[in-house]
This record gives sequence, structure tokens and C-alpha cells, in this order.
Amino acid sequence: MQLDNVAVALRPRSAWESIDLGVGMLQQWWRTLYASFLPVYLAGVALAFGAGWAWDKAWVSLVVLWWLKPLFDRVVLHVVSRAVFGEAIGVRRALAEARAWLGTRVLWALTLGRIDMARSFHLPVTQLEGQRGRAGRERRKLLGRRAHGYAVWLTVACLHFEVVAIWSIDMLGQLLVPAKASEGATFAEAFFAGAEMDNVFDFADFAIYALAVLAIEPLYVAAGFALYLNRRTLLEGWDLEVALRRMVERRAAPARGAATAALALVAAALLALAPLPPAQAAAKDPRAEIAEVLKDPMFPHQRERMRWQRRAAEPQQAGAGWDLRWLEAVGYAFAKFSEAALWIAVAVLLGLGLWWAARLMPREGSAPRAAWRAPPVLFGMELAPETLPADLPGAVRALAAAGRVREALALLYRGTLSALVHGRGVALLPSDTEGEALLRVRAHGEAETTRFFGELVAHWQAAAYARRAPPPAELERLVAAYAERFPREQRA
Amino acid sequence: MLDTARRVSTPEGIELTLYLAGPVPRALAWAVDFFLRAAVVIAVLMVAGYFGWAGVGMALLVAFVVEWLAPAWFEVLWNGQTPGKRALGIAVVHDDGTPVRWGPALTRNLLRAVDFLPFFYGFGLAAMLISRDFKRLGDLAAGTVVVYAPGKAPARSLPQAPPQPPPVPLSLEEQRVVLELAERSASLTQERLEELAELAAPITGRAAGAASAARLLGMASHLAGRR
Repeated sequence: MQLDNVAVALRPRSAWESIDLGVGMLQQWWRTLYASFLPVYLAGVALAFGAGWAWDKAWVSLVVLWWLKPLFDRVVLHVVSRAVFGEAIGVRRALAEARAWLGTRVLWALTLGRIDMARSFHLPVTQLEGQRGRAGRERRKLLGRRAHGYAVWLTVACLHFEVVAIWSIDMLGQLLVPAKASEGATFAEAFFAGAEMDNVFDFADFAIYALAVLAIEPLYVAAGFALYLNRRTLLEGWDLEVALRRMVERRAAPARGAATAALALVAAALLALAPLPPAQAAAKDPRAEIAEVLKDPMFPHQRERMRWQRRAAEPQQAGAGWDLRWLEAVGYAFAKFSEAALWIAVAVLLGLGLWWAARLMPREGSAPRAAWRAPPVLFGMELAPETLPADLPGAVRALAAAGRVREALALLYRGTLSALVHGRGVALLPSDTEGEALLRVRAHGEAETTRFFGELVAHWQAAAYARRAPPPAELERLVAAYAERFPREQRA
Repeated sequence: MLDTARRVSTPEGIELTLYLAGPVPRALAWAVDFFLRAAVVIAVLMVAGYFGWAGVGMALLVAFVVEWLAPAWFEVLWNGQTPGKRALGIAVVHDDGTPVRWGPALTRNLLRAVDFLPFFYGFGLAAMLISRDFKRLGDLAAGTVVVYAPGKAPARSLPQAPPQPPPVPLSLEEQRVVLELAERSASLTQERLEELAELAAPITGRAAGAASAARLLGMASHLAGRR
């Protein structure tokens, strides 16, 4: 045992605190603990179950499992005591070292030692120190001087934990499995009904007990070991030793290997687990076996048969105090009324929808166009005939002669538009462009006028937007054409 | 290092150590409380029997208060201890070590109903065994933890020995170790004491067992202020 590798914090603890440290050990090393504990425990459960099965009495299983607890304790202690000193041992090693933990006074533990009320606290003395006889008794007395009471309380507490675990598992089962609750004959009922011992327990109870022991027993052993460890820490100053060693290391002085009390693991006679009793071979019933075989789909024995069968008579309604048939009529009327109301609502909604859709449709000829009125202004030009000079060709020629060709062309254009609008009634709009005006003139249907207006527009556009004045001869030709086209407009 | 102590830092940078209490002492504390509560309720019932149904009503009210509110009342006003906890020397504190207040105290006591499921605190026990801080579900919800109440330090006595100064200056930690060793020397066997003293060779100076131990006790006397 080397205190250098100790994996728990060594300090003088109260007894309760050291028990808590045992819980902490279980939390820390539960994987390694259960890895070694489970195989041994399952073997024990199988043994207990086999015993109960052989006698056909479940309580035998319970008692056997309870009796075997010291065996399970030993493997737990073996693993946890090594884990505390920084040595994690796997299941294989734990089982290989079975001689070490099984060989220390197992017979005594399973007989007289079974009624020890501080079992888990005393176990390290027997198993790890290998003390026996008078020496063992004295050692237990010395260690237990300030701890024995706490160890007994630990046993009592763990006993109750086990009971709580048993009932909790049972209750969970009853809460979650609805069928079981209705079966009745729970432990309490059977017990208080004064039933025979055989009926009080069944193998389900045994399974629950096995689960509870599985949960609580390692805790009990670890806590007892922690209590033992604390007692030795106090009696032998282990924490002081660790602190002193640290001091020595810090001072870099040559450390002297101090011999510490070694835990002798005395090997005693190996007690092999009793072999499992052979399972009873169930005597086979040939008829049942044949039925089994015939269940195979290879033997189709189905046949379809049809026959008449009396219909079951309508069960007469048990006479309730009230005749409620009128309620049915009321309900029927209400249902019919509701149905009608629903259809009416559907019709109304459909009509509304159609009306709404119809309103959105464009209506033929119903929207009277505003009557066309000659616009007073086109392209920013006054069109009223009064505003034009009486002799328009003369005025144009005069302007052209004065060199104001553009103005002359503008006057001609204006006069033409005015004549078209007022004289010929071409429906030009203020929004029309030159091209659109030309299209409307074309639609009016006078080929000559259209041709003349087309030329005029082309010249006007060239003059207005490109500042290209028409040659004088061209202008003269246009004026002449105007005079020919619109003779009535001459007010001369 | 596996330990059940947890260090908590205060905002002022002071480290407190909480020594957590586990399922066994807590179960025993609960048992004490349970029997006390039962005694109170039974006593009230016996008196209430004289007052007919009104008395039964009163007794039920008392039972409700005793079962649900009284533990919280004790924990808030009695340093985190119910009578059972005081008997076992444990107390409830917040996770950060501060005294428990009404909210968490009520939470953890009302949630006993959950811990009680499915039968007699099965869930509570399972939670305590799984949780690293030994918390039942109510503790997890309320952010509380059950710790060992700091009790009175046991009176310690230093054995009489002629004081002698240590050959080298000792750090605070080393002084503590020497003092602790001297204080506990009475509970150690003489052989073990000498073994430990020999271990402290750098300050006891390679003397043989008995002389080494005597020198160490002398140093402890010196450190304790005897001259």
C-alpha cells in the first residue's frame, strides 16, 4: 500500500462524512465496481433462483440471495480498495484474484458473521488485513471504538434504502403496468390476509429484491470501507504522512522510504461456488407437441364455412326515469333547420360572389364617351379660326419672303390643323402626337389631304426639332397645295 | 482527488469550503424530523378529539402546516436546520454557501412531494446517489445543498515538551502539519509517531525514532508560542 497513489483526499473526517465519501467512491468508480460486481452477483442470483425453483418456493430464493450477500460484498471491497489506492482493476483481474477475496473466512461470514450489524465496516479487517481469531476481535474493537455505532446506523440506513428501493420499483411497476394493479394480491394484501408463506412472495418479488440489492449493496460496502479508511487515517495519521511526504519532496531532501503498514492479503482455502442445479427437463406432452407442429403454415387447416345466425336482439334500454325521446325530435328538427339555414347561407354567399364578379366585368357600351369637342390648342398652337389671318397663304408667303421661313411653316401647319379640326372635323385630341394626328387624318379617308398633311408634318418636324427649314420652292408648293386643299378656309 | 468537499468563492475572493452531506445522514435527519412531526400531529389530534369535527379540521390544518411549511420555516430562521438536521449536524445552504432564504426553502420542501415518488422518497434517494453534490430533486430545483454545519472546533491540547526552534524556517503549511501531528500524537501509537517523525527528516535532522519525535514535539511547542 503506497499512500502516494491514494486517490481520495485524506483528511480527518467525521464518521458521517466518511460514509458520504463512500457514496462518492461509488459515484466515481461505479463502472469498474459494477463490472466486477455484476458477474458475481448474477451468478448468485442464478443460484438463488435455482434454489427457489427447485423447491418451487420463491421465498427460498429471497433468503438464499440475502444469505449470499457477504460473497458479493467481497468482490466489491476488493475492487474499491484497489481503486482507492489508484489501481483500477478490470473484471478479469478481479475474478482471477478470487482466491484473495474469497478465501478469507468466507464460511464464518456466511454463518455466524452473517448477523453482524456492522458487516461492511468489519469486512476490511477480515478481508484486507487478514486478521482472525482473537487478534481480529481486538482489531475490530480498536477500530470500532468511535465508529461502531455509525457502522450500525449505516447498516440500518442501507436496510431501509433497500426497502425503499424494493417498494419504489414495485410501485413504479404497478403505476406503469395497468394490468398488474387489477390483479390484486400485492404483498400487503396477501400478508394481511394471513396467507401462507408460499403465496406471499412470487418470483417477481424476487426479481425486484435482486434489483434493489444490486443498487444498494455496493453502496453499503463502499460506505463501510470509507468508514474503515477514515478510522485508520485518524489512528495512523495517514493524512499527516501524506503532508510530511509532500514537505520532504518540496525540500528536495533524499526521501527515505518509510515502511508503512502493509495490508496482508492472506489467502485461505478457496471456496468454489456451488454448481448450479440442473434445470428440470419438462416432460413433453405429445399432444401439445403435435399441436405445435400443426401450427406451422405448411399445414393449412383453415376452412371457410358460412351459416345463418340469429341476429342478437336489440338490447332493451333499461328504463331510465325519464322518457327523453322528445329530445331526439327536437334534435332532429334543429339539425334539419340548421341544414336548411346552411344551404340558404351558401346560396346567399354564391349570389353575392356572382354580383361582385359581375361588377368587376367591363360593361358593353354602358359608359358613354364624352362627346368630342374641338380642342382649342394642339401642340401649343391656337386652333381657333379667328386667330388665323384671313389670307393665310398670303401671310405665309409674306413671312417666307421676309426670311422667317420657320415661322411661315409654323403658320401653315397651324392653319392646316385648324382647317382639319374645324373644317373637316378630324377628331384630333390634345394628347395626340404628330404621328397619331397623321393616323387619324388617314382614318378620315381623304388620300390627297393625307398625302399633303404627311409632307407638311415631315417638314414641320424637321423644322421644329432639327431646325432644317424647307427650301423656299417646297414651301411655295405646300402653300399652293394648302390653298387647293382648303379653299373654303380662305376668307378673303 | 476524490473528496466530498466543494470550494466556493465569494465575490470578495474568499474561498469557502462546503462539506457536503450525503444520503445516509440526511435520511437519518429526515427520520428524526418525521417522528417529531408525527408526534406533534398525534398530540394535536388527541386534544382536537374533544372538539368534534371543528377540532378535526383544526388538526388537519396543523398537520398541513407541520408537514409542508414548518420545515421551510425552520430552515430559514434556524440557520438552515430543522430539528433533525441539527441533531445530525447538517444544514441547508444555497449552492454558493449563503444562508437559505424563503423561496428556495419553500421550493425544496414543497418538492418533497416529487422526491417522495414512487414510494417513500425513491426518486429522492436515486437523485442523491446519482448527483455529485448529493442533491435530491428539490435541491436541484431550489439551488440548495445540504452541508455539515460548522460546529465548534474540538478543544485540542498540545503535549508538554521543552520548546525548541526548528532548524529551518517553516512555511505556514508545514507549521500546520507539525502542530497537527503534535495535537494528534496522543491518538497515535508511539511507534507510528516515531515513524512519522523520522519521515520529517529535513527538519528533525536524521535523529533516531524517539529523539526525532521528541524534537518534533518540541518544535510544535515552539510554534505554539511557548518559550
